[in-house]
Amino acid sequence: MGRRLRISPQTLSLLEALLYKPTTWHHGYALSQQTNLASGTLYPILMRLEKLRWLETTWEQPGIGAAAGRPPRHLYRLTSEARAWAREELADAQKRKFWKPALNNA
Amino acid sequence: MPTTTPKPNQQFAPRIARAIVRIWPAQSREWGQAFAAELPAAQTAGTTVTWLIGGLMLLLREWLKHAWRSLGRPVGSTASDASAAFTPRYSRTPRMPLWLMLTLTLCSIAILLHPEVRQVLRNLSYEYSSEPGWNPDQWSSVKRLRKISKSNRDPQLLALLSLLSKNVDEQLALSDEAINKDPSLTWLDYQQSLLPANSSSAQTYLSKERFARLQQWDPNNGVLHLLAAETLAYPPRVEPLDMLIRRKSKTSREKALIDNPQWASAMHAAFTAPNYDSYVLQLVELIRNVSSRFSVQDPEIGLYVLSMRRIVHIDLLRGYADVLTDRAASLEAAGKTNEAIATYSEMLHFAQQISLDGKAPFEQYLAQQIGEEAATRLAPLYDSTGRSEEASLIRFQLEKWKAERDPKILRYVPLHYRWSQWNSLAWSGLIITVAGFAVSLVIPVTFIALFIVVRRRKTPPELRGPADFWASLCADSAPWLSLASSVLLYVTYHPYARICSAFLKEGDTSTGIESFLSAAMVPAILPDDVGFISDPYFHWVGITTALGVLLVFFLWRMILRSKHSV
Repeated sequence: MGRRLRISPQTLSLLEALLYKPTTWHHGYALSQQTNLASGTLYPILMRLEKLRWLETTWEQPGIGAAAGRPPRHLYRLTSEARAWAREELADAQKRKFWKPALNNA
Repeated sequence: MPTTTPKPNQQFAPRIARAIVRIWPAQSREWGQAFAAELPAAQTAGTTVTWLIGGLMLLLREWLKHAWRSLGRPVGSTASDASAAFTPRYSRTPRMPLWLMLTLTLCSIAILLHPEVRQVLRNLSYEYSSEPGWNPDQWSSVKRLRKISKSNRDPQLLALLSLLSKNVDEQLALSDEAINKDPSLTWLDYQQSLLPANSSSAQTYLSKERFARLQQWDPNNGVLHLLAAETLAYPPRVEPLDMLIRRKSKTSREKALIDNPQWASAMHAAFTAPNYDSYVLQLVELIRNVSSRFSVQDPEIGLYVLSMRRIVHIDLLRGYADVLTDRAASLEAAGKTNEAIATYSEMLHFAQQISLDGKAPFEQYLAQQIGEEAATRLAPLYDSTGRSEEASLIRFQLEKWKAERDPKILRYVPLHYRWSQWNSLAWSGLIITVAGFAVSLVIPVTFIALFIVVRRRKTPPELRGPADFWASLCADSAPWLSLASSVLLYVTYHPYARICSAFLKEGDTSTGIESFLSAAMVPAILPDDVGFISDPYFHWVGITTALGVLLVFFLWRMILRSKHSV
């Protein structure tokens, strides 16, 4: 992805969660549960990833939410370019023992 | 179908979430909505509260970001303006029209070129850039006079340069040359009768030859006899050591002096001399003459020369007056009325002389003190000897002195030492200092900003960096700041500059010495509360703190950037 960046363990956890099912759309609460990140930490990371265009975002179809009696959710997934980069970063962080995967059984 | 009552978290949490979204900054409200849309997923009260707290933190963060970015927008434009919302962060360009920028800059330059403003800026630079203490050799006006003196050995010019020099040998050589060319300048020897003026530990009195020349030139001046008495009473360099070792009190010194016939004779000659002249008027005339003829109107020169002028020793006068009072009282008690009258008359004569010719406020105060003391005792003595006419004259003089006496002793305190006056001068000094610093900071910033803006005018917005942003901000604000500080500088200093220029004008007698001294010292004084800004230690602390804050700021930005990069 152009330049090499230093990434926080929280970001690595989020990338890991987004890579779990890379083509599937994820929503914020589920990501928070998977990564154990509070909303105040999770959303700034999502916003930065989106700003760097490494994250695709979309809104859930209104009908789906309405059927479940809730508003439509904001959904996220890594772009195809970002997926390769995220894998590299995770491998590198693991190699440097900077970060340990939480979803290694996935 | 059974109905379930909603839990409190299900009741209130959506309302709070909606409120959060409502006040979310418009540019990133989508993220607020994203956060709120997840709230129903939180099942328990604990997770709902945690989710809401996270949302509030996010909201706060977004507001701070929003406030910071709004600083970069022109006043009056909102974040929702298309131009502001969709342009890259550092794409700001100056909003001020060129004609306005040029007009403001030209107005500032015109004010800064005004002689009064140039003068005060020069004075400030002497005050804050040179080594501590007065050093006339560094002043451009003195340098100019020195340059002129290389080709023009004008006696008045040499006399003034001798008074401005800090080198004793040069001072004496210059004054000798001036006196040889124009003997009416012999009074210079009195002004230079205790040199060097700024170092009491190395001071020596005038040589015997010079003293003889001075006395021959002005034999009737009591001040010169006082100088002779002073050399006996206060031998340079010996006195402080002597005082320290022997712990001699003032009284014991006076007692020792009374027995010294040379001292008593010199003091008697001083008290009975036909005139009293400490050559202040000659000094003022010299400053005016040189300033006018050589077009160097620098109040700092006048301030330096008049502040460093030689003054008579107050302890000496007061001490001798006490000696005479005691002597006259003893004579009176012994029934020697005529001798007592003669002694009191000596005091009275001197008091009248000093009252007529003394120019400094402390001389007037002393004259009145000695005169009242003598007149109060003399009048009854004249009555007792049947000289009622003389007694009436003395009572008249006494009444006049009493009538003239301001109940406040402040009348005798020089203007610039009076508290209320001092306070207003000091605040003017602070405004001038602050405006002067602002001008010297803002003018270069304006030019640097304009240079950057012009040089990078063709750089596309997406390639612009923080330097472009700050340059554009400075280009918009600096011309206003520069004009405001120039105007403030001019308006604040102008009344004082007028006093100084009136005083330095040859032939002008409307401005008093004290008024001039007060006005001339304004750029160099500060109120006590902020006096620390003239202390080099605080300059160092200020610069170090500012650099420290900048360093922390940039480090913080670097850390944030590396963190925010993902």
